Amino acid sequence: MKKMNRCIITLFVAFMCLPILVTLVYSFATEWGKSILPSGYTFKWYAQLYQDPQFIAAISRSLILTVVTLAAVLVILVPSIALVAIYLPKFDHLFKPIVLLPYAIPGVVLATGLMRTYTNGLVPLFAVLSGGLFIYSLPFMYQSVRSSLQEIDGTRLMEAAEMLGASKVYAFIRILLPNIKIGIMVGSLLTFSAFFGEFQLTNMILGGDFETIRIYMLRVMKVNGHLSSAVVMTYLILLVIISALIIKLTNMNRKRSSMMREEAAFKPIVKGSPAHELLNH
Amino acid sequence: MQQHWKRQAQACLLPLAAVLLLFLAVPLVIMIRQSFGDQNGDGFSFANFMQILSQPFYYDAFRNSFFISIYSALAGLILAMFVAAALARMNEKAQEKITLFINMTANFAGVPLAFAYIILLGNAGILTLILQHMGIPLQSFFNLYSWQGLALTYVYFQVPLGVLFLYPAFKGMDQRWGEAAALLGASHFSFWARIGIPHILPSVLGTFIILFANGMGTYETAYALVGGTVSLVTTRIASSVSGDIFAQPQIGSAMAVLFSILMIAVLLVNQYLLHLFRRDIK
Amino acid sequence: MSYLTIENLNLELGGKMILKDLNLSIEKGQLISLLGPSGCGKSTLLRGISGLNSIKSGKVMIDGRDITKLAPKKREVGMVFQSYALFPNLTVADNVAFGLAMKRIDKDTVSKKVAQILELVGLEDKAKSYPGELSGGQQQRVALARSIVVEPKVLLLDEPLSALDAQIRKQLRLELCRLQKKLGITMIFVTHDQEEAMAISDRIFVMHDGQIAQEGTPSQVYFHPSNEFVAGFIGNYNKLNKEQIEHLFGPLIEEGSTYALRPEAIEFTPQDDAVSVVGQIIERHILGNVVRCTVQTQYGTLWVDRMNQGQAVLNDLKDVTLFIRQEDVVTLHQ
Repeated sequence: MKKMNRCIITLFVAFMCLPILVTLVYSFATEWGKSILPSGYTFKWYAQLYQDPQFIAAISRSLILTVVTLAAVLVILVPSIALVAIYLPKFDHLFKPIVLLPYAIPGVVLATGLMRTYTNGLVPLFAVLSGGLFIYSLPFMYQSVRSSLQEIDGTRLMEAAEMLGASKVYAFIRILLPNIKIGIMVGSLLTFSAFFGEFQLTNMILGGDFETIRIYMLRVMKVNGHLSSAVVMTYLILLVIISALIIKLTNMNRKRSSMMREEAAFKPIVKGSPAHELLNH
Repeated sequence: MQQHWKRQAQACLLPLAAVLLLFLAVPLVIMIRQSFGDQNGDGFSFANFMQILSQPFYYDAFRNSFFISIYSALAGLILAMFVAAALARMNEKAQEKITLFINMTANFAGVPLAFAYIILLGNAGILTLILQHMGIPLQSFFNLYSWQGLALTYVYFQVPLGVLFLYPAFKGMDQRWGEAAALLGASHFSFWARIGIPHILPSVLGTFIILFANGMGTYETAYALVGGTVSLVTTRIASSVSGDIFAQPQIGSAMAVLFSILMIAVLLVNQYLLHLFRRDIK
Repeated sequence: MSYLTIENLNLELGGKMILKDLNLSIEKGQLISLLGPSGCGKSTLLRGISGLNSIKSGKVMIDGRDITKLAPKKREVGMVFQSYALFPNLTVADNVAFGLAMKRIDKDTVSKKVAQILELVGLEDKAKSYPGELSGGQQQRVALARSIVVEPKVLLLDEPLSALDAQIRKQLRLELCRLQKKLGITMIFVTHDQEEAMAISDRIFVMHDGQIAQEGTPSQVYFHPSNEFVAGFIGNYNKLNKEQIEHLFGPLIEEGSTYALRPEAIEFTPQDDAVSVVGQIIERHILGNVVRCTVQTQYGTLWVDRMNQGQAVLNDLKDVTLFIRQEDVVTLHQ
């Protein structure tokens, strides 16, 4: 029985890795037109890519968009979630469905609404894009932070701090935030990946005017498959590095947490992530 | 005194409320309004909706999206069930690793996926060539750039999504249930029929619906693979809203509204089915 | 002189009136229990005193000061939560020092006080540990230390021992009692466990449905329950109606709704001034140091408790005669 399990999982992993491997090989191939294996191997595509100023520009744009939006999400959303969870429970009935709404609304629908509302130029389109991405990050930032708050019984902690003389702001910064750091980091990790690789909203709202990494990827794909493969591999490696960094940071905090919170760290990955990464690509 | 604080707390929610208003509420309202109007946003009629439902150019999009989503969701679900069942039986470490793996590979969907499948199954694709050598002319019955090709490509991200949603249900099947049932005299078949399947069914149905919704909403992979040659709801809406020559934004809005209604209906059906089968889940 | 006074307190929660017109007063340095079943309002009362729940109407005064409208941190009241609510990101020492840091006391004094209190609760070697590394009992003691070190006027404890194993509970409640007596802190202790309340309290306030059903010393409450609820909640009282009592003892001196009788007050051997009742033992349970017999009589089933001396004689007994003294009967009112 165990053997069969392992067999199935291995097949699954192979199935998932195959396209990635093929892309990897393609990025190193000199030419791969009509044969089963490439005719030769080379680094020249990568060299060409990294010297292309537009590639660097595309990565920068993706990074700026991601960092700016993520910062806004953290600063605005996290305190709001904590506020509602701890002090305004009656709002929760309203809050939860609103926050989970983006799950139900396909990306193209929101993009359409945003386009029709802001084509007149009242709000700079970069802000519109950022706003749209913000909305889409709501469901799993909410889930990550919320479940983290519940694990540590945030309400009780704030009350205990208050009884001991702390102001609400002090307690929030010194007691609550450090203990939901894991939840925030997990949410941020997912959000970062989602924003960095975003295509749909960017393409519809700004299109070629703001060439992020995925848009660049598509443009190059139509011209030179090898370059495009190199872009894909670079992009994947970048994401893996950033994710590994965030996970490392998370693990460093594990020393202090009890067993319960370790579970909390992984529950959001299981529950919250699939939606964004796999949905609406 | 507590009242004062409650007011302050509510005030602190204003930034979020502003974002929600500006980038969620208002756009949706405007879009709905425009779906009833004409090119300039005036008037009020169902003309746009009628056009969508009567002209093949538009309703083909719904039909294609529908079939692609159904097939990829079904295939994805069945494959995912095997993987999820296997995954649930593995140890904690393995489960964590696989979950992480799935999260990582999720980033591949979209443009990279489209391109990789072109390399594999395109006209000069590796697998195409291998099959040709084996005497199977893939091109005669399969075209990657058709809706069938899209459906096949979608399976790549439907399976892992299905696994993530299904495996908690399999995991939740406590071994002890089987033992308890056996002690009470149930056969293997009885156990599955009365306890096992009812436990999993809501998750299976729910996952199917999620996969279906996911398929419907896919944009990037389709756009990268077939551009506008295969009419899909997502790409059709996008092209009618952006500044093409053929742009008719009000139709785009109407399509978006129809699409949203369809999706919400699907989710409601999901909730209803959940309630029907498992009254213990709220 | 009353140290903590509550007058006509009304507290509403979620649209429901939980506490209705409640009055109580507590002397300084006493250990008081609020005892009652789930939902009787005891935790809500505690939170009302602490200021974490706001009051609809009424007055709360501590040491002559009206604190009704004050924020929790201005009330000089401390609280130990059922789940301890220790700050997971701070060490034990930092947790305990938290309240002192809020008062802006200088670092040296803080370390001294923290060291002192940790020694008092027996955790001086855990100062650098984190809450996640401690056992339940240890966490409880840290929570206690954290609240005591700021020298509150009144310390509130919300079922602080319910999350612990039975053995640790018994141990900790004695330690709590000793600590309280040593430091002379006024404590209000919420529990649903009557044994716990009786073991350590100076006074018990039995609560029911948002009101105080009875208050008194443990002995008073145990030996003289004043109403049906208290008699049903405390101990294991036998209940008899008016007819049965009159049948046993003749016309009544006191009018009441029901009459209660302690199981240990019923004898198997003849007593002066006791009436006899025949019956059959239908059940026998050994509860450790007590043997509880269920005896079927013409007055219904009566529980009779005996100290367990290992008497073989009770094992074979079926038909018995019970002896009941009128003075042991307690008159209850609604």
